[in-house]
Amino acid sequence: MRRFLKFLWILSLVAVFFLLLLPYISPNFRGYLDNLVHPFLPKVSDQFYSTTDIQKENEKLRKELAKYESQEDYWNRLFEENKTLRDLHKMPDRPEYETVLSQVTVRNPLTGKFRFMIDKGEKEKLIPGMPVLVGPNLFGRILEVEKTHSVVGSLAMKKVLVYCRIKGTEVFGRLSGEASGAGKGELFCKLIWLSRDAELKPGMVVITSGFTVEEHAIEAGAGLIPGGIEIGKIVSLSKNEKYQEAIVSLSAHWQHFDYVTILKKKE
Amino acid sequence: MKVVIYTFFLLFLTIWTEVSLSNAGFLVPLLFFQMFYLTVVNRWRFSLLVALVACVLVDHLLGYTSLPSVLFTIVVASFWRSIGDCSKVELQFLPISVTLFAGVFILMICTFLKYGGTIPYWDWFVQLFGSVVCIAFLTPFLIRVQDWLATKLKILTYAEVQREEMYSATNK
Repeated sequence: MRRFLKFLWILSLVAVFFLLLLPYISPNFRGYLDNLVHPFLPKVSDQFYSTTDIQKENEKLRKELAKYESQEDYWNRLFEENKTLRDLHKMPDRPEYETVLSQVTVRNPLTGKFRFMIDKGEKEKLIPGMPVLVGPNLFGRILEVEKTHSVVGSLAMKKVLVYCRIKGTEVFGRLSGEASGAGKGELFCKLIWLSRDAELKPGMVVITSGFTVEEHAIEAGAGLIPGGIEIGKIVSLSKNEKYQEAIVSLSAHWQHFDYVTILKKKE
Repeated sequence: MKVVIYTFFLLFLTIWTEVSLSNAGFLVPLLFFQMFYLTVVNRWRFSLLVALVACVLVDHLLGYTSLPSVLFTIVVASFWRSIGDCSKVELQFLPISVTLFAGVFILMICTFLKYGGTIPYWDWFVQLFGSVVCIAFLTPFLIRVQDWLATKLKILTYAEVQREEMYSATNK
């Protein structure tokens, strides 16, 4: 009997020894001691977790977090570029034009709705007057071209001339600078020289006409813009003695983009 | 030569920071602050030359017409150098923020005159006050840092300029 008790005692000691060793053999067993001991000796149970292991794990996780944080910015930029390309994909196919995707490099809160800089220039054979699109919608034209960058003027600028047509009609007009109502990324422009007799109503879509007969406009590059690109929608209309005027809400918002597309005629 | 290199180094940092903040959507008139600092330290002739270079660069990058605002800042800074007290760095936020408030306001008027269109009043109001408050908080820190650099290079500092001038005047 005494021998048996001694054997039992040694067996239980070996069992306890193995039980204590288990968490180090496999991480799957790390929680069980806690469940066993915690209700009675919470502080002792904590001793079974190796602090060095936790520190190592913590360090590893920190490194991973830093890695993912640095990647996040890169993914965001890719997402933006992808979105622009997707929008571009929706554009009607124009075999005689090629597209140049460009990033906005310098923009200012005061002058941002009128002009900004992009990272493409003479190297990509851009020339002043080329149309600049945000998604599938026209936003402005190139004003100046340098070797490595260009300046883009938006439709809100008076010197940026764009000749338009009301979609589904034969009514033509010209965009002429910013009109009142801008704010929160929305931009409104004046559409002038619309035929007085034309029956127009708010909500009609304004698109580029693709041609002009004015010589000074052709010199300014007005003929470079292909027809059929959406510009915006008519918000309100007014008439004077000779013409009708419309306020157009631009489809392209002036604050929410980092990439633009330039349409370039193929050589 | 040392002064010229130091000035253009400051100018590079200033324009780089201002353009970066602009891209992020914040209007912080660091260039105007720098012109105030340079005018007090190096007098108006030198800062006028620097202003011409800086304005051409900033106007090209950001589409401003910043020369009138910078000229205004130089004039006020010259007066402040003559009749104000530049020795207490912590109090410099007052003349600088008041000058910059007017400077940014002139800049906004110039922007409107150049581009026309409509004025987003609320946005501009927020930008104007935001920029001035920002500069007011930054002023003592920026002056201290720039003065520290100037001391290391053994050139005139903002806080010491008037004392040095009085000292050289009495020694004559």
